[in-house]
Amino acid sequence: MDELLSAEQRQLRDSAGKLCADRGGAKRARALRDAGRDFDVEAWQAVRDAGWLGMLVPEDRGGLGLGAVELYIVLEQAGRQVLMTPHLETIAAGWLLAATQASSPVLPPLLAGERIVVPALDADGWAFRRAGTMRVPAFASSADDFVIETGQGLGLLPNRHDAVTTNVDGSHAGTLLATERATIIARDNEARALAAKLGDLLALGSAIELLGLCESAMTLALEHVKTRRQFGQPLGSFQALQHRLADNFVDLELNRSLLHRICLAWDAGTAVPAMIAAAKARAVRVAAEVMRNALQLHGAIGYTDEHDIGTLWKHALALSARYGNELTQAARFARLTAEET
Amino acid sequence: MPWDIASLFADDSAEDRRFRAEVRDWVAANAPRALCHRRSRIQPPELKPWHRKLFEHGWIAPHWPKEYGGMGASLTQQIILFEEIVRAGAPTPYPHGLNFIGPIIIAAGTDEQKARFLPRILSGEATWCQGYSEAGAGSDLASLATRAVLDGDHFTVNGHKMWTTNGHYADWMFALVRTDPEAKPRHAGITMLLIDMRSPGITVRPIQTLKGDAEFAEEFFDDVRVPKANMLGGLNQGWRIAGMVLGGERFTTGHPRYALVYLQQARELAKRTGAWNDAGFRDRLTALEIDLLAFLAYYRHAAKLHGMKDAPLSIAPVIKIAGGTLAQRSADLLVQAAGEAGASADDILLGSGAVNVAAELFEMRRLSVGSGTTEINRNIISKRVLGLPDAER
Repeated sequence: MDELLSAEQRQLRDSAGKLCADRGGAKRARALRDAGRDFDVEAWQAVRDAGWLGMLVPEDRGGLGLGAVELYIVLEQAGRQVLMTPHLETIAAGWLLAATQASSPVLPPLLAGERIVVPALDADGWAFRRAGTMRVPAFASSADDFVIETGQGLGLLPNRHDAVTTNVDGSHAGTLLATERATIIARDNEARALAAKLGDLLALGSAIELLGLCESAMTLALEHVKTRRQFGQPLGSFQALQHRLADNFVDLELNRSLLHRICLAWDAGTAVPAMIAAAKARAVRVAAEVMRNALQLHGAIGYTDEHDIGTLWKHALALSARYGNELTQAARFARLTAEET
Repeated sequence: MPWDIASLFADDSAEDRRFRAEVRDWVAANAPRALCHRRSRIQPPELKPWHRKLFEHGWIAPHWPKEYGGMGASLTQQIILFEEIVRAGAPTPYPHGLNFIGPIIIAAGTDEQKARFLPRILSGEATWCQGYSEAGAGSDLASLATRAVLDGDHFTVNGHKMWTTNGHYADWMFALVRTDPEAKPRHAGITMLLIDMRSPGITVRPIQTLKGDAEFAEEFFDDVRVPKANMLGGLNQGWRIAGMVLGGERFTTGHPRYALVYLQQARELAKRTGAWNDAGFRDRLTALEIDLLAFLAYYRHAAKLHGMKDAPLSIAPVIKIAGGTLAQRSADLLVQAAGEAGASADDILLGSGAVNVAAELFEMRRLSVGSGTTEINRNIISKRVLGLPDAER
């Protein structure tokens, strides 16, 4: 899709690529995990300084007033470099706070990177629930507030750091034990419409980051098979391996186009939830295949904690599980398209 | 799926939408009813009046430049024309003259060749076939052995061509023949000849396909004399000449239409047979519809890139691999939807028309074999896109 970007968009891609390369990387993600943190403070400052947090917020509300295509550009780079910051969540929350009728006092500190707001909603706009409790899939330690669904509408709930658990990539999930102290930010129809769109945005964003992760996994796999020699040949000369990589490439090309087209549709106001459900479901399925193949091609080294390919895989697992995994999103797609015929 | 190919992910401008409406109305009024929604293959003679009608309306060659009688249409408009013909269930003209050799004659033919061949391709008077494959030269096309020896102002051709679609109906064949058996690499010894199929010494034998119709044929050449004036491009330039096809062709052969139709039919059929009540059926339908959506997005994206100077090399093989696999898997599901009738050789009646599920399954074999197998396309991606090495010897 790079061929279709404007000069400004190319500039954004290049600067986002540099930011993520400087402040991200699998090694850094491992160090963060080992330190028990799911939040990279230095990277966060760079993300804030670059204006990402307000990218979907109109300029007159203090944002950059950009669209979904720009979101794609930035998230693809973040995914490639395993950037461990709540950028997607905060961008989505910023969009939400700027979209509600009532102006929220939380928006300015959010845009300043001082207040981290993390949605606890799934792709249908409903709260993630498990055994009667409400779950936060990511950044449960770093968040200052959560966006939750309540009986009265959408609300902001301050983080009390209840029951935090750790994901395989070092990110933190949590359980919200008490939800009655939420500040309501949208009610009734407005709340339902915004919640659904917020869920879509998170599903779409996580699908784009998965694409970026897969691109990095492909790069690692290709480098490896071009240099590693067995039986007197580079591994990459074996046709059985070549064809599997070719199939991975084809699958990623399709995902790239699908995500890009959906972003164009989002900006044109023609995106529908079924498209996004399809894109996340496919992003997760393809990520599992690309990662499995990349790990396999690495042989034993791919099973070590110190190699980047495993770090990419674990982050892919985390992004796959949150905001609707393959089967959840496929079932949602089936539901949304069931009336046809 | 609740989406229409006309609107989903399409880049139609206001002008394009107007053109689409115009085509839709015209096709509805003019496509011969007897040729629409046919399950069996329509042979070239029966297709001629429809070809002629499109020709007379000026729509037979959207991709040819205006000066040669084409429309000089944008790729988007070429796709619109194709989509609207397909939507009406009408057949599309055979590609061998219009899409394969026509553009090559335009690019590499002499003025005399252009004047002689192009008008009859446009009007449909001449049916063409492609003489590339041989019994011993399929994926390894450069190993072809049909021999042509230049003797004064004629070539003498001896050999055997095979898997030639419409070979038994063709008036003309564009053939790759070996003119230098010593050439290294082998493709440097190949020449493109335009061969009159009524020449003495040609024997044509139809070959029945799995589907049951005689789609292709084999041809035996026994001292066939071909005038030197029928050589296209220079001597031993055939390989390069054959590569001069415009490439827009892939957007018609690679169009997601088969999967679109099959998945719709599978839904309808499954509701009749009860397969719809199986969670397994619906899971697989969902997975294929998601893949279809992704392929449709890729297809539109690729069409947008086509013709741009940095358009990626991977477009053709990706369309071939992804589109072919998707269509075949969709035909598989259609067979599953039919339940016990999945092996029937007869038509099954549906509200939207009749379908012969096994015939569709058979027909889809073509997509992963004809004009470059899936494996050859994976090789292209591996070597030329991903830069993977050849084996060291």
